[in-house]
Amino acid sequence: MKRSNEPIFWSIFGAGGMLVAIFVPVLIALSFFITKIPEGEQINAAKSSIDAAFAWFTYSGFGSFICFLTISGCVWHALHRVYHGMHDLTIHVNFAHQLICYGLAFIISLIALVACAIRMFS
Amino acid sequence: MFEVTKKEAPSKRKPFNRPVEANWWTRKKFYTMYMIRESSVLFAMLFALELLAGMICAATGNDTSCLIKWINFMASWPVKIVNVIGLFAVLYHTYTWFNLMPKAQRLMVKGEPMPGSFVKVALYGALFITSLVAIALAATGLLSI
Repeated sequence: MKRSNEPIFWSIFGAGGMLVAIFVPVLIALSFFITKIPEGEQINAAKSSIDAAFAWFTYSGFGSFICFLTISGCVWHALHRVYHGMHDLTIHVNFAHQLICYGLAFIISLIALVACAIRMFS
Repeated sequence: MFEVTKKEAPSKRKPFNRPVEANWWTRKKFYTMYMIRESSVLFAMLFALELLAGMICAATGNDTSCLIKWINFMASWPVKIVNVIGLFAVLYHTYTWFNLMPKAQRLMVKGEPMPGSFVKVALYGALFITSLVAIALAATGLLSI
């Protein structure tokens, strides 16, 4: 019998689910306090610490690494659920559906990883 | 002598497949909540894509002009409204995820299974501490570029 690839994807799904459950709620809540930066001004931690924190999250080497892990965990978890959820919407899934879902998760993770690498080594 | 043929004869039976409509989950509250739980990940994914946009902006160079545009985008009302709905969706995910965790993974200590409530309390503790640390770091202005 051909070995199933399900355990690998399920473990990523599990890790991503834990990340979405524990880390994403506070991130979304904090993002609500992001304020607009007026024209011509720079990101200033004294004026808005939340803006500065989100800038750190995407811009700094360490921050962008956590950001990459967050994005990758979210999309692998989400697209695994979408793939299995298609059955619930009476779509008979086949290999093409799997390829699209996991392929999309892979591409998004790769873009985030490249962006993270640029921030870490520049 | 009979020879056992490996090739199976095509099946003559015509199984009855009960038709399932795509809206089956609207008929019972339990099923509806299941579908809400499953679709809550779409909001988590949406937020991940927002973060990805920020990462792409940050990666364009050492110039922060694109990053400032992204912060202004995150501060706009349509994005905030979507994120508020997303917050409720993700919190529902958290609630259901913590509920199923003791069923998915049994924690053994000295050969004895720990009660499910212990696992749940530990998970809520982790959620609380993570949130507290993140809020403290973000609010004090320690994280800056």
